[in-house]
Amino acid sequence: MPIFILATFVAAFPLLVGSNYYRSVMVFAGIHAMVAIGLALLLVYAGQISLGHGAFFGIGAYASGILSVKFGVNPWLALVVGVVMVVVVAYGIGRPSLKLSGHYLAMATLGFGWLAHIFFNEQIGLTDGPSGLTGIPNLTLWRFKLDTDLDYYLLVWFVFFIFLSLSLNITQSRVGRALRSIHDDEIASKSLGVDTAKYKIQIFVLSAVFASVAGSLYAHYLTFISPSDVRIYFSIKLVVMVVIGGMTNLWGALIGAAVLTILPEVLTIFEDYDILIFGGILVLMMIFMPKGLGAKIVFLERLYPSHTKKRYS
Amino acid sequence: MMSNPCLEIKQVSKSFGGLMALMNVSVNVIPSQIKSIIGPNGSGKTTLLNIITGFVSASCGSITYRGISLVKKKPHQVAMLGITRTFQTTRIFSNMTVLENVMVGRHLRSRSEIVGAALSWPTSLREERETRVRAEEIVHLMGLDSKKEGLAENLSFGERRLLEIGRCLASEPEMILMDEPAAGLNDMEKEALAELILKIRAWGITFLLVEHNMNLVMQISDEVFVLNHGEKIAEGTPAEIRTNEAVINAYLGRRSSKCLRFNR
Repeated sequence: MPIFILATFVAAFPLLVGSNYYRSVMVFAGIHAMVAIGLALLLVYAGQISLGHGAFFGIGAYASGILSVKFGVNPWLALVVGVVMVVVVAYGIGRPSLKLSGHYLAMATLGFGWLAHIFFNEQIGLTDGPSGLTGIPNLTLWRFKLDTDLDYYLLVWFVFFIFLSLSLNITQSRVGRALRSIHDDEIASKSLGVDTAKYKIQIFVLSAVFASVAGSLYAHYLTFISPSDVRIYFSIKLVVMVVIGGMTNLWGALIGAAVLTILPEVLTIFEDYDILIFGGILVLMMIFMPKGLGAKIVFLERLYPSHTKKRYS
Repeated sequence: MMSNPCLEIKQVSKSFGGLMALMNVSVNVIPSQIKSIIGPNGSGKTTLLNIITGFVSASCGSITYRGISLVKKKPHQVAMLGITRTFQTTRIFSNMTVLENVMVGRHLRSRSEIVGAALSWPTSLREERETRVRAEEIVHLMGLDSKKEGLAENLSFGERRLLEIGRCLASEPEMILMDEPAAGLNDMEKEALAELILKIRAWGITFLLVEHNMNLVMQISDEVFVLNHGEKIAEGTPAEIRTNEAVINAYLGRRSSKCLRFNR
């Protein structure tokens, strides 16, 4: 049920709001939501943290940018190549790191994020360094060039809905249950025959793929990518989106992504004080809504239990 | 006692640094048998259980189940062979419902993987319905129907034990290893537990129990195996164990001051 409400809202938004600025904010919200959904699968369901997802976003964005600018590769093909690279990298990083847990896993993925950022900054021959890579071509669909905010709004939210439905299906399956059992008690999970290492790496790679696709779309939308777009702060912000949204379900991550994208834009009316107020709002949210914004959705479902009986949906 | 053993443990030793937790321990378990391991605290009982289930690796020795070596097997691979276990302190999935806990127990009896699940393939959905039906049967068997939609963390201690056993049963195991199943239960619950174990055994499931509660052990076991300081000191029927001199010395009493000192 919530998915239909959301779809209606997403479809109605561009009809009601003509401003390209607001549409553009919503494009970013959709891109962030894509990453946050994947990260929520990892964090909320499997209980594994990653402070390196900004790097997967960056690999996707740079793969798209470099391949299409410097090698003239079709942008869609560049996106796919980015995904393949991220699968390989995420597997290589995840395999050893996911044996760790808690702070150690956070440190390992943080280190990886840092390395990726240094790479984007220093490999000037490939990435054009700190000044960023410019002139990334827009995506095309058949003969149509996607170059307006509305085009990207529709594309990004279409992809988001695909990711959301895949993720929701996973959460309501044997695999989703296995992930939650790992989160609750990994030892008991193993004793029942759950190959915990396999499921952790699978969900880690899947969430990295979501981030990579989001990164590619970001690069082709802005036609520009720079290392500062994917610095560690961005990775942390992604985790904050999931946490603010609440560690209860995927919907929280969506709300968290929307709030953390839109709020800073709204707060620009306070000019120099925006960061201060932004921080204050985050603190108040954690005090008064420790279970996050997503918990409110669960509350609505309790009021209308016919919609769904599952706590995690 | 004529039938061939399914689980064979031969000359298993385990040292943690300088501490010998197990020394040349050999045990056989026969199919459909209830075998109990007893011994004072720190005698290596739980270590032995952890070695069988792959959570701890043995320093040396061999363990085979139906001819397949369990040495170097990971816990989930041991479970795949039909050996499942419960834990000394119950390990339920507290943020999942009672029914979902049992459904995780069906993990080995279902196939769908991440791609099928993400795309909601018909086979995956059908399997999900079957899993739910089978899990509901188990929940009913455990008498937890009224709580099945509630979170497992809201269960009482005794109910958690039942849930843990139910979760094991859901995986349709050949053998269940239990680490102190009676710990923390009251007399009535212990009685119910004994009945439950006998009932499950009657379906042909083999049990290996680690237990402190002598009444329970003597009541339900076919064979008892006694460990002390990591070494086997006796093995036999409950009646034999009750009168065994070494067991009485080490475990049941007499020369108690010495025992206390060593058993810390």
